[in-house]
Amino acid sequence: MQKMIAVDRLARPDEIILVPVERIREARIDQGIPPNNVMPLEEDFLKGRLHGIATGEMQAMEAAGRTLFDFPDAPWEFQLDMARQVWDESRHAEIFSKLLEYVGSYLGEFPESEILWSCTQVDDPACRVAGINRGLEGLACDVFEQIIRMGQKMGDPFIERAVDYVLADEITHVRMGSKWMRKLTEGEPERLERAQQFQDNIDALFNFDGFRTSREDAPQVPLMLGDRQMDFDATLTISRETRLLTGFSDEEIDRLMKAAARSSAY
Amino acid sequence: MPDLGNRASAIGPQPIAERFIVPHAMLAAAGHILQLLASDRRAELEALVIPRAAAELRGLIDAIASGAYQRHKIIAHAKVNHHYYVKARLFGESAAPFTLPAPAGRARGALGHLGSVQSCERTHRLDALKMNACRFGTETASCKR
Repeated sequence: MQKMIAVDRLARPDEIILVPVERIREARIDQGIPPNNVMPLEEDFLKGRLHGIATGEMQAMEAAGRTLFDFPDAPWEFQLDMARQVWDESRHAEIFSKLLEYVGSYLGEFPESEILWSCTQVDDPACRVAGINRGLEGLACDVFEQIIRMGQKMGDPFIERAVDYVLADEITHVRMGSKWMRKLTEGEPERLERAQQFQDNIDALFNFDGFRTSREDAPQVPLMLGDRQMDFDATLTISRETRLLTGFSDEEIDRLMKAAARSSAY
Repeated sequence: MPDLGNRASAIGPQPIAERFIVPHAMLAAAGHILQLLASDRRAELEALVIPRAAAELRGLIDAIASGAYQRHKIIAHAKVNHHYYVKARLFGESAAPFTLPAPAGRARGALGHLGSVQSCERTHRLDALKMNACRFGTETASCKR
């Protein structure tokens, strides 16, 4: 079996359309909507957001499995953690497939982008867990916290509880990433720096050009859900409370917030 | 706690949203484009494509063995707001099925485009055409921007 699967080599069943993220950005720009992510005020917001997460969970499952396979010489405990993560992510993929049905969508309604998989393209397990577990799973924690709040505001216990259940796992994945990033680079400060740099690049990639703010700074906009309207965040929020649970320090969270604010200035 | 597997027992606001039905005109437009591709009607295709995708279209046409395919089937479609992506398969008596699109837009992990046709795998993508149905005169939601 081939190691280090390239970004265009993900296998998918016929009913899924997998495209480079540039294609999706192009289509969104052509329609005059923010290029990077489906946002409130768009008619497909909830479906699109849940679809993005469902496919993200699939890629997270594949990424953890690939990390296990790509680095056979990594410590046994590391491999056990990655195996556990594969199991977690497969459960999450099922949960989000069900949630998609719940909101009147299905897997394949929207294209799947390769962007998350592109974050696996590194041949050091320390960088891999820094990027995926700390970068991407950290982002997932923010996204999930926001959806949980949305579920609460909608009075919908299914979305709220299902996503809360998944968030509990994601918090452990981020912690796992922090642990292994440090353990695998013990006595190698340059390697640790490279891993942190890799994560910084991924965080920057997902700053969404100013469409990411703190919870407190998020402007409120009307959001239509079925025939109901409610005010909700116009941006993707960074949740300090959740990030602290994952083991991020206040300083790291501040850095993330500053980077998001800087990105909005460009 | 209600049964999570039974939508009817949900206590949240129901239904949150209905399933979206893909416009028939989009599928008809896609079918027409596929027919043109299968029959290698280059000039008609080039008249349909948006300018920035012209090179991609040429790559796609070149990747399809001329005259080898008689039938097509749309096997998947996906949308970004009102833009559509279509995955289809061409069939011929004496040729292996040709699937478009597929994850073949990049070559060996490098950022690429449709010029990097991997015809050995008989895969390519069609989204270059952007389902530009407006130019067909077949109105779809994407034409009403």
